[in-house]
Parts: sequence; C-alpha cells; structure tokens
Amino acid sequence: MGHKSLRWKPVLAITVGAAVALAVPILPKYAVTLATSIVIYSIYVSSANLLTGYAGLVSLGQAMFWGAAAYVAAILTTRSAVTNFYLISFIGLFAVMVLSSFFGILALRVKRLYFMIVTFAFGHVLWCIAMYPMQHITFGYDGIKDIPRPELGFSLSTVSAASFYYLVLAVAAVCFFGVHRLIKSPFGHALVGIRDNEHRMVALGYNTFAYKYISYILSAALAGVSGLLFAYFNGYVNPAELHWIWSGDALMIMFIGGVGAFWGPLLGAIVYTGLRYWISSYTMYWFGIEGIIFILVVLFFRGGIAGFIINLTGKWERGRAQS
Amino acid sequence: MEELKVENLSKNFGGVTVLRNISFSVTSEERRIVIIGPNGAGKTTLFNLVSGELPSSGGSIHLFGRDITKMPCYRRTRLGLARTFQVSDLFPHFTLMENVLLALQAHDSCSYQMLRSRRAYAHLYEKAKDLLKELRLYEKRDDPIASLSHGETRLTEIILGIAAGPRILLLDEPTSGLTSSEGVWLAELIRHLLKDITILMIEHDMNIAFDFADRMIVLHQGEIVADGRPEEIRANPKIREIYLGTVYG
Repeated sequence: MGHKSLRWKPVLAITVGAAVALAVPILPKYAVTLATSIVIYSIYVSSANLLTGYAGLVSLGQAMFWGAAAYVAAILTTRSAVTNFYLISFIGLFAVMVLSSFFGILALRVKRLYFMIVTFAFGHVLWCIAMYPMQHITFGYDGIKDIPRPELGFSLSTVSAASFYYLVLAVAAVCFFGVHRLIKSPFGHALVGIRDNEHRMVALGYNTFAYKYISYILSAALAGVSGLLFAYFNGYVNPAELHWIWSGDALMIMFIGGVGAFWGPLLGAIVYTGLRYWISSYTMYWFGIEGIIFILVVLFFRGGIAGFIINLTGKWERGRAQS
Repeated sequence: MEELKVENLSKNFGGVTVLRNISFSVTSEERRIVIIGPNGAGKTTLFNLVSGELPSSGGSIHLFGRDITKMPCYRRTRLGLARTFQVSDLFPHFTLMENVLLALQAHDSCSYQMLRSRRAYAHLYEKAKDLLKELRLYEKRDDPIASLSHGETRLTEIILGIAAGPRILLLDEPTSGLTSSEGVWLAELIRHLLKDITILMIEHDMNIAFDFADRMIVLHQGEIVADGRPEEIRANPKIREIYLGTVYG
C-alpha cells in the first residue's frame, strides 16, 4: 500500500464527483432543483463545520448569518435601486462580516456551553428584530416574495434551473476550495490545535482569541454566501431563515455528514435533503424522522457518513493488503 | 542582567492563600534554578503566575526588564518565556511530528497563513527534524501521540517547551513518572541540550535536584523559606526539618 495507491483515489473521487455534479442538469427539473438546494446547504453546513469541526466552537447562531445575507439580498433586489448581483453580494457579505465581527467579540469572551447559549441568544434577538421592529421592511411572518434570479452580466441569465444550478456550483467550488486550503494551512492546523487543547496552545504562544475570532468571521461569511444564494434560489425569504431551528439543523446535518471531515457537509446535505424530499412525500412528520436519524447517527456512526466511508475504505484497503 | 524578577507575588483562591509575598530574581549568571518543596507548597501555582496562566492577586513580575504582571500568557511566550507541564499536555489527535510543527509554527511568520499548505514551510520541517533527532524521537515522528510511551511523552513535552527558542524555560517536574535512572538521564539531557537558556525546574527527586541546581529555592506553605546554593540548602537545618526530613527519615 504505497503512496501512489493512496493518491489516485481522491483524484478519481473528485473527478467522478465533478462529472456527476456537472451532469445533473440532464435530469428532470425537480432533480436539478433538489441538487441546487443540496449544494447551497452544503456551503451552509461547511460554515458550521469550520467553526465546530475544526475550531471546536459549537454555535447555535449560524442561521443569523445565513438569514441576514438572505434578507439583504431580498430587500435590495425587491425594494431598492440596487439590483446588480455582484454589488448586492458584496453588500450582503460585508453586512454579515460586520455583524459577526461585532457578535464574535462578545460571544468569544465565554467558552463552550456559554458560547453556544450566547450565539443562540444573538440569533434569537436578530430573529425578533426581523419579526417585529423591522416588520415594515421584512413583512414579518409573511416574508419577502418574488426575488428574481440574478443577472450575471455578459448577457448571462440564471432564470433556468440549470443555469442557476451552475452558478451555485461555481460558487460552491470556490468556497470548498477555500475551506480545503484553509484546513491544510498553518492557520487550519492551529485551529484544530485550539479545538483539542486550547490551554496548551496559549502556553505555546498562540493568541487563541485571534484565531477563533477570525474563524468565526470566516464561518459567518461562508454562511452568508449560502444564505445569499438561497434567497435567489428560493425567491422568497421569511424569518424561518433566521430562526435557531435552522441553526440547529446546521449542526444536525453536520453530525450526519461527519464532524470535522472536509466532505462531511456535502454528504450530510445530500442525505438530509434527499431523505427529506423522499420522506415528505409519504408523511408530514419529517421533523420527527429527522430527529430519529440524528439519534441513530450519533449513537452508531459517531464519525457520520464521512467516518463510515473512511472506515469502510480503510477496511477494504487492509483486506486488499492482506490478500 | 536580571532576566526575571518576581516581587511580593501572592495568589489567593477565594479565602485560601496559596502564595504569599514571593520575591526572587534570576540573573543570567545562574542558569539552573531548582524549586523544591513539599506537595501543596505552591510550586506549580508559582509557575502558573509567572507564565501567565493564572492572574496574580498581588505583586509584580518583570521579564527582561519589562513589567509583565498583566500581560497575557501568549505574549509572555513571545518575549522568550516558555514552560512545560507536570502532566504531559499534548495534542492527542496529532502525530508527534505535527505536535512539534504546531509548537514551531507558533512564532513563525506563517502562523496566520491560510491559503498555503503547511507542507510548503520546509524550514519548520527541518527544525522539527533536528529537534526530534536530538531527542532520539525521529523514528517515531509519524506515530500518534497516544502510542508513545510515558518517557517519550515527557520528552515531547520538553520539545514543545523549547521549540520556540525561549530564553527562560519553566520545567514543571520534567521527570515525573519516570524511573530514577530515566530521570537522571533526562536531567543530564536537559543540562546538555539547554546550556544557553535559563531553567527554572520543579523537581521532587532530591538526587536530581541537588545534582542539577546552581541555586535552589525552597517553597513551603506558599512562602520562600530558603534560597541559596545547593550546599547551603543541604546544610540548612530548617529545610531538613520541613522537607528533607520527611524524605531521608
């Protein structure tokens, strides 16, 4: 089992994966739509994974960045003179990063459970603000409807399901590439060090607050990217996008996919979205079933789907080495 | 030159005073200072205050002439102060090599680099290799920390302490859990390897302590009861009574 046999596998997996992803638009429209939401969710969940899986910070407030960016896109496209997709994306991401740099300073003053509760509280405050004081802008429960698909310039339209899917796929590729670079970098190595033993990292001379703060803002930006895409994809944004349930879903999908595994968010999003689509067509009790799946994964597949696959290929690899 | 100066340092945990009016200074003339004292004397707490892991309740600490009393731990490390822990405190999910790289990277210009793979920083690998070879752990570089023996984790603990190239190193019982012959070997290795840095070492094994020290500080119930050359400490009847008496019977 030399280095070569280990190298070709990820290359093959990525090539096959990319080919499948690019070929999706030959499927019926509902499948393209499903695939689009999978890709958007996988960006969102990877934002949670960066924070929780790598930096060890469990946040119950990821939805506030997803939702905030979605609202920025919704409000600007439907009710302002600014309609340029790139400008709106920039404003949305900028808003999310400002928001997270403010919340991060406060939330990161505390640790573990307290951090989780503080992020939860921030998220809830933002939800309340969108629901009530800003009701004249957000339309409260009713939400903002009729968000048009973005125009990309160069006479590229994303009105068709396939073209929008390709836009999402391109953005996701950039995001995943960035996350991959990050976790392989010295910065990423330090994040995992902080997750595993923050006390020692401080003694080694790391300003652990700075690392956690930067990763919090990056994670928020990633959640913002996904929320922004979602607003255009769904054409409709309501306060559920800011709600803590959606923050909890990020953690749940992350657990299903595999915490701290690079491909975990994508695998989790595939299973979560696929099952929800399939099961919802039979019963309205999807939430309950989602909970049961989550419990089963946590009890029997601690590494999630990613961990299960790694185990399986490891066994296969060992079996081959023996024969 | 005064490298480290501790003045009237105290520490209370609630109503319990763990350290009371500790004052001593370390110059570059004395390289090997051993801190002894019975269990509960406050030795590790003293290290925690000097390294910055715990805030002091009173008094001041100067490092190379700078007041570091309120300085956070990681910045003290940048000034050239490092420490090791009594109970090995490593990164269990990383290999030995990755542990060492993490320690080396802390003070390198690449420590915030996000987009380049850490494999691109060959100078860190070279340094890590040298350190591991020097401590005869190079063969184990790709082993997970969990698979190392107790003695090897003690060595790794020291590597993490010296990786950043400190000028003062606080060694909290480096020989804890080792057999006495291993302990003697390790103390010899530290003496040989770290000739040019000032070492403050907490040590329970009296043979190693007396053999290693240029100077000894004796802590008892949170106070310094003696501070002097090993011969003086050995001859001090008060020390025999409170500390050595219990060891030598």
